[in-house]
Amino acid sequence: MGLLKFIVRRMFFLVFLIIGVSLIVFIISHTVPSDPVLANLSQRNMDNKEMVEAFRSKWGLDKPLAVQYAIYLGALLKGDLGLSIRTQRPVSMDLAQYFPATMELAVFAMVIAVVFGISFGVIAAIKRNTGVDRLIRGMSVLGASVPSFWLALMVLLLFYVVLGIAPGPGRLGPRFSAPHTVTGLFVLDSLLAGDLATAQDALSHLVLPGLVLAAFTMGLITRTTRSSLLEILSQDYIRTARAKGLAEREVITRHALGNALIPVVTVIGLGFGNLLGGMVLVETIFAWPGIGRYAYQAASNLDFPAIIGVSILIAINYVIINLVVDILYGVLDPRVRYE
Amino acid sequence: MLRKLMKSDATFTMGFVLFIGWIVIAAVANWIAPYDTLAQNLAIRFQPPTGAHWFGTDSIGRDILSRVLVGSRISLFAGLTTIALASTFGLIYGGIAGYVGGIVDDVMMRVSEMVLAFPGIILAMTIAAALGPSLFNSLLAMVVIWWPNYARVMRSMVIANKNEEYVEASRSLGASHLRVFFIEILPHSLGPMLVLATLDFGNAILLFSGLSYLGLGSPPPTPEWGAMVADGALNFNYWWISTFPGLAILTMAVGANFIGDGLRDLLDPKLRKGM
Amino acid sequence: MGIRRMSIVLALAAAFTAAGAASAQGRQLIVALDPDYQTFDPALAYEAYSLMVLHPTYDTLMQFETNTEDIKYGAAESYAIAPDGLTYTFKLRKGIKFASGNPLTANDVKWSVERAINLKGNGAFLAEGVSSVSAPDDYTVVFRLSAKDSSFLTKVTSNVYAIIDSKTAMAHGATNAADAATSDKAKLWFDGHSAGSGPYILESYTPQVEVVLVRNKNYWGKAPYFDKVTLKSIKDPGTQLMMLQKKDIDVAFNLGPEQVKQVKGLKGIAVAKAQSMTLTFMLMNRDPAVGGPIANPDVQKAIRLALDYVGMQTIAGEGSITPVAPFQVGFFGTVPPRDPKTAQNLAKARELMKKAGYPNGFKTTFEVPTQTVEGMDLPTLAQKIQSDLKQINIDTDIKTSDIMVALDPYRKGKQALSLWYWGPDYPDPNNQLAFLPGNSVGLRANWTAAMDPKLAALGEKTAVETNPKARAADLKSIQEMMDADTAFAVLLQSARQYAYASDLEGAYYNDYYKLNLAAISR
Repeated sequence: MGLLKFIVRRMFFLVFLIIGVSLIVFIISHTVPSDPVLANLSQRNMDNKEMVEAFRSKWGLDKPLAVQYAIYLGALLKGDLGLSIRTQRPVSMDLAQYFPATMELAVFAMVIAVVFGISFGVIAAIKRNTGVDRLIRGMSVLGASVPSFWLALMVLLLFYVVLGIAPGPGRLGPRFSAPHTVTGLFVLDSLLAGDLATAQDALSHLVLPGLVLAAFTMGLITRTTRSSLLEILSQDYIRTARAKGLAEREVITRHALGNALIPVVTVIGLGFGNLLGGMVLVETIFAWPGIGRYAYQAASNLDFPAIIGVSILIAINYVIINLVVDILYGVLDPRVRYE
Repeated sequence: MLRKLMKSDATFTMGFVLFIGWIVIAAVANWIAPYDTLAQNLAIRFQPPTGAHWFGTDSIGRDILSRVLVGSRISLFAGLTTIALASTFGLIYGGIAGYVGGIVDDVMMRVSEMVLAFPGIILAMTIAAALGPSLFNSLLAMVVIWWPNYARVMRSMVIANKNEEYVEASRSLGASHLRVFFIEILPHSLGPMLVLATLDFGNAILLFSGLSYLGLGSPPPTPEWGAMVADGALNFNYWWISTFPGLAILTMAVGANFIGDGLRDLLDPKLRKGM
Repeated sequence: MGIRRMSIVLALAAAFTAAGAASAQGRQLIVALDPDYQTFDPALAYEAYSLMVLHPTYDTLMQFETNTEDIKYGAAESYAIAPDGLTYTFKLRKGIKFASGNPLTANDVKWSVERAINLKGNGAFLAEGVSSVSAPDDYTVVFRLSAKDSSFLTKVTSNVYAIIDSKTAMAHGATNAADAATSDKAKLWFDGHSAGSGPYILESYTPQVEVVLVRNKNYWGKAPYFDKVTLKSIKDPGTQLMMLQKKDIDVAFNLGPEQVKQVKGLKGIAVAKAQSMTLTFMLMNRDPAVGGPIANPDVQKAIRLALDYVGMQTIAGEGSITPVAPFQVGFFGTVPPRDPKTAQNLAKARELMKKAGYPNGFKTTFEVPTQTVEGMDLPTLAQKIQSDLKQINIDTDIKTSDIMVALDPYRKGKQALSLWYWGPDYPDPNNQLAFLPGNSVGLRANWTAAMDPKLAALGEKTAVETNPKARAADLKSIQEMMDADTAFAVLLQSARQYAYASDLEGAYYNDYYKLNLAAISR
């Protein structure tokens, strides 16, 4: 199957996914015994029947479920995700505000995870069955076993409170203000504005949450790199290369590593998905104004328009990341066919 | 096999010891806990570790050591239950999809992919918020977001085995579909499912403690590790309140993951060649 | 030579400009708080922290300064009340300009109040009694009320009466038309901008992150000390404390009792404590179909006697008290608080349980919102209550949920036993009459007027009583009656604790405005 047809198929799946995700949340929203929408009325207005009715009709709650869903889908076609019950702002506006913060952190964490994960994996493979190998493998398992919310608390306590060498929670120090929004990525935006101090401050705020988020994926990448490299190194063409008298370093960098990284690509894709899940906890602790914290607040408030909006956004991301991974896979390994 | 593994792999041994350690603790926790896990004493709230309270006391003067020990029961139970239920459901689901094939397979797999794409933790949080936080609801939420992995592995195993000669032979002898499935295909598919389950155990514990941290697990005063870390987060400078339950989660997950790692290396012949 | 001297001068000049820039940037106040604001549209905002931002950005006819007992002039320079008590005529101060440069006129006042009434926001009830507003000339505003209201001047201090620059607002979609509730499109604009005449301008609002206020150069009154005030949303009190210790912020506004203990005596940090007007209470349903055994008045009495008030005050922190009835200490007519040491009487509580027919106790759910009240975590308090109630054999299952989810069953009177808190809408004891049988909060416990007709009638009388002496006597007997029998257990009136850099001046707490930002200096 051609690449184009493959992409079209994935896009169809995306539509199916959006309908499914919104439908699931819609159904949950109507099995809930309580009426969170009304919670936004003041205690006084809650007792006022007329106010309550006016409020219900404003939010379309007086119509049957199927009609409400149809209205929702109609609006969705126009890109309108409705109003958040909690923030009283358009969900799309909320998402546009919070998503860049999450992306900035996710990309940063991913870079850390990929760079260190692959390096450690290669080192472990080269020094297989030595102390170094065991140490790296142990660390990678540790990284995959540490509860992120706890690690987040511990690093904040240690590096911010006790040692005072890392900045505190949030995206910027209190004395800095956000750069003019171009991309919403603070580091990039402040560089674009030529404001080095702010860029540096934004970057330093990425370090702790970035490391915490990266821990899990880094472990995964290390292990995959190591095992995949070991597998390649045992193959005949590598033996041939060695037999030709090539230095081990050259064997690895020129012949083995490229092929060994193919399965790593999948893991990176998977890792991105994990990252967005881990965001909920890490952002909550680091007071990071991103999608994860927004999702947590939306879910615990049963702010259904926001829950659907966030879910759709993350699902779209998931599909796109998978698509990119699949395509990369094909580029890296010509044997792969898109199906 | 176990002995061989222990000899060749120090990390496996460590994981094994940690994990068995926690199982033993969970079994006897009610007897070895020095204090009642619910007994409050406001006079000694927020006490750092002392001889009387090795892990210190929490915001209402309860003994943290006792709560960590007894809390192991809930974490183990949550991990086991989630994995057992998710793998059973995934096994049936993936089995049907793989065995029947065609359009049924297509639709079933798209549905499972949809669940995979749905941000799991958001679904779990929504379920817990909608139904009220409880152990049952958080486990339900975890199973809902966890089964598709098992369904996918099971399906691919079934498809791989379906066309093997012995299966075809059995079918040509007039065996019913159910019989073929349960007698011929299922046993051959269980191995990979088991490895996946072991590998997942640590993750299940982590996810459960995360939900519990967010207040979506058992309601207070149940000694749940995640919720205990959250109590410490409220009282930041009293480091011991969150440190010890966090270490408990870490060691249990490390134990499970070391075991899983060792098992995978053992069962994956490609890797052994490299060793 | 000449060139070298020249370069020195240049360097000095550069240094001066840099210093100038630094001081312009430097007069900055940073407050960390856990706010609940949803919007900064003065006609819609009705959250506890709304006025903290709206008071410095808008003028009101009347206002408070340091305390809420003494009402002062704001944009008005005088007022007169007609003998019938239904007409209030305000004279406006001359020469007030909005931040936009537009002059503030009586027409703006009229427009703003009409808009608030027609938008039907959460605070609109504060203007419910206004039947008409007129502006006979640019500096005179006349309010006609439909009924006498002794708290009208107090209500005029609220943001519902904030004076909006109508020209600017209309340019952004605002309207005072009768159908404003649907046709007004200005809310989103107001969330990021202000159109007022206060000492500050709302420069930006990033939900969950910060509110930035900058000096209004057109302000008519005394210029505030700080050029820029940033309100940082930091939910966690522990984090607020950390940031204050690191001097990243100037005020940590939502500290719990534990955090305060940790900063006491630290150099450069001052700790302040004020009585908060927020009550924490337990609701006990009177309807047997909802409450089961809880509905029995003797059981409710037993519960009040079983509680360990000393312990609860320990959790709530130093300075917290327990009023005898849902009337805050500090309000007109409130009787002295309970003595926590003698309030618990387990023997009597057990006796009452026996009398009610539950000598062996019973099991019930205990609904608790996951919320922090003045730095105290409600689920933590709930666990303390749970262990107290166990002593009279009442087994409680704590059920936690987010406040947005919990409010609905609370409002509908479907909770048997639950933990709640209450902040007054405006600083007046009449607010608290809501707890009486047949009134809004009373009905949430299904406590109807028919269950205690005498108390209900007394409440109605007190609501319209204007003679202070008679009012005080009525309030006193209401509190005594509620001490003997109510559907609530008043647990705590917390102290409000906060800490700030000790070189700040004027960082006084005021329940209404929280901090009067324009009055703070360094």
